Amino acid sequence: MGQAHPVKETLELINQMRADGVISEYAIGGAVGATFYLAPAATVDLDLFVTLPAEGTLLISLSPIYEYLKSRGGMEQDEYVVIKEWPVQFLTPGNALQEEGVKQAVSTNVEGVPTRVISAEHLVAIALETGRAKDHTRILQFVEQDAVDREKLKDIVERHGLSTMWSRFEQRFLKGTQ
Amino acid sequence: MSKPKLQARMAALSFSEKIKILEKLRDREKAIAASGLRKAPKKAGN
Repeated sequence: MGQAHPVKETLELINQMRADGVISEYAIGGAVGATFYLAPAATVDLDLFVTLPAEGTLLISLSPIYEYLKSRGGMEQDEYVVIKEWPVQFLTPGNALQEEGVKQAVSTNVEGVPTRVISAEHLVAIALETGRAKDHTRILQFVEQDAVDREKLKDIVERHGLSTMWSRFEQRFLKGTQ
Repeated sequence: MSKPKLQARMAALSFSEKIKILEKLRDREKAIAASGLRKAPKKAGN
């Protein structure tokens, strides 16, 4: 019996969904995105930032994504679509920072399947903006593992109005470590 | 091996290798949850 590769198979389906025009572009964020840069840490879901072909209209709906995936074996469960046993959360960029994150995502592959991951600096900036305890933990992992370009991060933080938040974060968590 | 060295070694793996580890970690979490070994957190009193 062959080994199951749920993430690879999920990404194949997402790539097909993009080829079929349901989404314009996507990039992996969250813990799985962070794993591209850091040592792997357990997570229960896959966060995908998606842009939709109809953007520019006032109403953004994820229904076409859900319908597409449900017709191919996906199951809607709360805010997720479960594909190959992995809950996938689809997020549309809610601001300029997240939009830039999708546009400037890094191309890579999972076992030969092409995919895109939000850059380390954008992941840190998005985590800073989101600001939950687990986001702060993730930022610290990026800093401690030296996985973020501090100059690029500073530029992103400044351009997106997060300088005060970053200063507070530095003061609270990084004081004496730099 | 020290923790920072182990972390660096793990971080240097390919994305494909890391994804395989994530999948295994998730399978393990699911197995533990299904076994009932993990106790539900106590509710904090008011």
